[in-house]
Amino acid sequence: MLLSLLAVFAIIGLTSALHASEAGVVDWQKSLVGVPLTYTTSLSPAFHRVHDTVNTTRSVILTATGNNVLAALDPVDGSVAVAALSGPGGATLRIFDALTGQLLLENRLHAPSSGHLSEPIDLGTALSLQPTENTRPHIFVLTNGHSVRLIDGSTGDMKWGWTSADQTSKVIYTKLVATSSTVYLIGLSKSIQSNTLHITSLSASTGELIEDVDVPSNIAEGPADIIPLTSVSGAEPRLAWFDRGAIRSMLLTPDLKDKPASTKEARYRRVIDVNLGEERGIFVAIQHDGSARVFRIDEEGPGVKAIWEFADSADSGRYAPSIYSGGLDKEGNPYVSRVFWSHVLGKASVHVFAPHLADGKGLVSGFAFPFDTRTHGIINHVCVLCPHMNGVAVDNAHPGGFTVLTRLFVTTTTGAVQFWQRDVLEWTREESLASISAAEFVDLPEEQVVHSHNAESFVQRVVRHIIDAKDFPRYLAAFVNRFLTGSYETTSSVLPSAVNASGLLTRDTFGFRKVIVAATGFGKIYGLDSSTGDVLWSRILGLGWAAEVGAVIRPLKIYVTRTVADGDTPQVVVVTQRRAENTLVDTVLFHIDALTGEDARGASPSGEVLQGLDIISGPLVDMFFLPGEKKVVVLIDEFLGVHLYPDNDESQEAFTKVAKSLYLPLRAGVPGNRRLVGHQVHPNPELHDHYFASPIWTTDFPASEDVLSIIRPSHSQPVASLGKVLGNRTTLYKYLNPNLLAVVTASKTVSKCSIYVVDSVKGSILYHVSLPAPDGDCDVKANLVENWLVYTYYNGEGDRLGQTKGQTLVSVEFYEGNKPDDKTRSSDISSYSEKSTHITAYEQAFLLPHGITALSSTATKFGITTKDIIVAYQNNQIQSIPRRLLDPRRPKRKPTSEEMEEMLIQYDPLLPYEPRAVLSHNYQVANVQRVITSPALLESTSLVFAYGLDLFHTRVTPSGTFDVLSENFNKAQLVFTVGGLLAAIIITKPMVQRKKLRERWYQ
Amino acid sequence: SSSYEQLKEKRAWDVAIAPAKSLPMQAFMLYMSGGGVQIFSMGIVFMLLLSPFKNLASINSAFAPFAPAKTDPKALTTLPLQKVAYLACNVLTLALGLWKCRSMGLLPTGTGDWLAFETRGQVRRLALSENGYDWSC
Repeated sequence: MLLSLLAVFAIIGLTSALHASEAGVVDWQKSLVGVPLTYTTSLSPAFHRVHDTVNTTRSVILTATGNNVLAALDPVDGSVAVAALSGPGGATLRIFDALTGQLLLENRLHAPSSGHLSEPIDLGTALSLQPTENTRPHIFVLTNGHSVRLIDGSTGDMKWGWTSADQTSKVIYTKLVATSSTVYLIGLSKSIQSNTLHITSLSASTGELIEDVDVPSNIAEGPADIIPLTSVSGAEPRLAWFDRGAIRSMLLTPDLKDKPASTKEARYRRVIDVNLGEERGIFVAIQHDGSARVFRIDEEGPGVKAIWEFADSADSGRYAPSIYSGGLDKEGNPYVSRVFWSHVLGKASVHVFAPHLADGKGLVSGFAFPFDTRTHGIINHVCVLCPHMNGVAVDNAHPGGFTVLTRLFVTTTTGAVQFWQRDVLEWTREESLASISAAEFVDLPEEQVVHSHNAESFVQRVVRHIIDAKDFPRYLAAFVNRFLTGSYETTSSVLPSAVNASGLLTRDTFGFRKVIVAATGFGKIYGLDSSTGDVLWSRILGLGWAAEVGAVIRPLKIYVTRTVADGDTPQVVVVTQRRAENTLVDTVLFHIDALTGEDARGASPSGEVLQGLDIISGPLVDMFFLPGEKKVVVLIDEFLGVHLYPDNDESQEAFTKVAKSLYLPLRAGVPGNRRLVGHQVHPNPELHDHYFASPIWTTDFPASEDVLSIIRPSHSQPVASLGKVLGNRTTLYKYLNPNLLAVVTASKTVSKCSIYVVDSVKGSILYHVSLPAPDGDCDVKANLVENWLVYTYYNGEGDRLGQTKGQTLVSVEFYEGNKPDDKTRSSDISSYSEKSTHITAYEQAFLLPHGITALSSTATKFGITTKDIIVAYQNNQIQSIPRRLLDPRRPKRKPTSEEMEEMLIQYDPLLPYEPRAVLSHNYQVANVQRVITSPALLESTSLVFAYGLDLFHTRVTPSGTFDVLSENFNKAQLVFTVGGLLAAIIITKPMVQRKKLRERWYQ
Repeated sequence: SSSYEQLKEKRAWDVAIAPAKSLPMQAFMLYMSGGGVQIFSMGIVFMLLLSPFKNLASINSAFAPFAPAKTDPKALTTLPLQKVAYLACNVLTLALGLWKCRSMGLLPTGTGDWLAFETRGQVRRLALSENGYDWSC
């Protein structure tokens, strides 16, 4: 046991140890937090000022993001100060330190499953802090829309709890206002036509119900129409809401006796909560013409009053709709900003209203900032901070000398976040890279020295050569110098700059640098430099006709349609699905030059939004890629019609040629009842010989099983070896059927998942295993390469005694025939041959130390190098598991000498967590969703790119760098030794000859 | 001189079975040299494989001194019985060498030794699924 463990460590140490000097050189990691949530006020980005030390304060930008991350960004350079990943279920209260992200308190308020309000995610929850003598305040928490608790912030104990008597009633509380004596719960009571306001007051000290009233009102939209207002000056809190075009308000007193007041005219369109309601009592209301009014709590009266109207804010063709937001400065003075895009200026404009300036009359200052709308789309959300007031001491010579130093935190529709200090862009973070939906490696061309000497006469050429000859001595000197002492590039040296003198991207010697083309769910496509992670180019995917109504573009797949080997700049085709607001779904293709991001179809000018090609007016069923000379993207629409891109005679011809031997396994049926159905394509003579797919087989999975996913062989790499030689020199021939598919299904009746390996030509099942699915959740990750299937699942509470609970990884290898030396030539024979199902599967299960979020195998150019498995663990690490550890033929006893010849090691159920095999060393690579690999030019090396929340890229050498000189190879020593020997020969040769001559004479 | 002829014939028999006499010794040396592919064991194996051929190439000159009078000493037909025995003994030596080669795994007898030369033709059915789409929607 100990010996075998030692052997395991030795192997890992041999194959994949990262030198400290290589960390950060061969790999990079980008911490991302995700695109901030902007649709609800309580979760959208906010500036937060923290007392760092006694005198200084620091501000951070707090934001919750679409990737389930709570993050604090440093406004100075945009670095991530804190990122706390939160799990699903909104039933847990956590208190974090805003600067360090330390979890100070965690309190499970109710079981996640008992929460019944989900959309939007902050519905029915609210927080309010009550200052205490302690350092940490008490917290009033409203959860689930009907229960309130007072929680001691320092201990986490519950002081009191109150739950509305009738939980099944139509009242859902959404807001909470706390004063020192009373807690007001504001809820909506649902009736048939509209919502009515419902207010409950509780005692802050005991939680007893004081009063419970229905306020006659008519609230159309929901919680967003209600804004609770409080004031630091001690005025009673009140409530403002939008009621059929008017703004109404009422005083909140414990007895809730106040009669609601209303604005005189019903001329408003909506109200906007600018996050200044609490303590500042400010909100914004939009009038019918689109102009905005700022309202504030009326300190003298019982209601609210308008204190300002933004000039020129009415709807107009000259500028886009405005975004209103609020912010505070260092002294706690509120500001209301209005940000809009001005079509006239071609810039974004900001108007900041400071109510406390000009002797309390309020003052607006404005400026424009050069927001790049062609790169970053449209501003989605703005968060404003005014840290300093310049020129507050009014200079008499300049009566308008107030300038408000405004900082803006801008979130855009393409998922970028930007930080502006007035009109200077401080930093940009491309947060949409945290939601990449498709990514692909693209090879770069070699650096070329181009000579174009057309129409040159002989004399001219001779003259040119003579002129060029003047560089020869320098070249010679450089050559000798390089030959003698020059260091060769090693696999761990820093790559030279990507862009050469002519401004084109070129590859490095070993092909480590590639372009990663990544399309994000925010309608933007990026070209990343795989050696540094820098964004080389980025383009917005245009919405086409749907731009009028609004749409979401979801990239599905990227195909490399032209590679460097084809002799020109590489190109990619991005297949996307566009879902317009009017529910129409289209399949749109974008054809892009991978080096520059330019439109390869020439339909969109440089720097503008990319225009796609609407290839199918409807959803896509499946897509394929015809490799070979003419690379064709084949798309299949919902009527099983075949669409080709590029659609010209050549691609039609290429498709017709292979059409007869095409077998398309498609997933058919509605979710929950999907089957795997094999299709063949036929031309339909009634429709101009347009190709259509027609079903030919369906798999005989049990009827209760739903096809969840189809896993195809991960790489179209060459197979270096057709079999595996055993210790007695017999051969296990690999089952290399090119039509293998792995299918994951879930059963509807029992909590089981299944994995099938299917021959996609005739639908026969070659391998089947049934896996436990805890809570009916089929979280199976699988990878199929050559004859090797690796899958992982969570093995929950077992039905047998002594069954191990944990993440299990199973390695399965398929070999021809029943025993060694059985040969069926599986890669050649027809799938209809009866021999094609003669296979043997060797399998073995291993236990993993952590849960797995993504799984992939390495890929190399010729497939000679061992294929390791790259896994992304839930502990934010990426590890490579050597193939030898995953060999399903590892013996369960001490290996015999023959097995030792095969380098088999004794089976150990636990795959050790070997820190030296962790590729991500001290990086935290959070929430990896996919790992993609790509071969480098060196056979030994494979590039690995992991994406999810964070991005991570590294190079791995599963069999060691056997094809490059080792780093400590001493070239100078070799050259000097050879030179010394040469010199010795030259010196001694005449001496020896003289001696021989003398011997002849005097013998 | 008939006793001289008898003596020569007896000496010829000695030469003929000499390789067989050294077989036990060689077998012992092979055993001692072990199963690994090292310089020592390789040397012995090469010797075992080469010496039969060298011996047979010089078979006529080896028996020439013992040829009976009145016969051509270099002819193959002189001393035929001894020569056949000599051949047999050398084949034994060769067999010992080959057996050693086999036990060391130097003879390409398994299918595994010929795997690198196996080829498979073009894939008949186009493997479209290689660049599939991950069906996540």
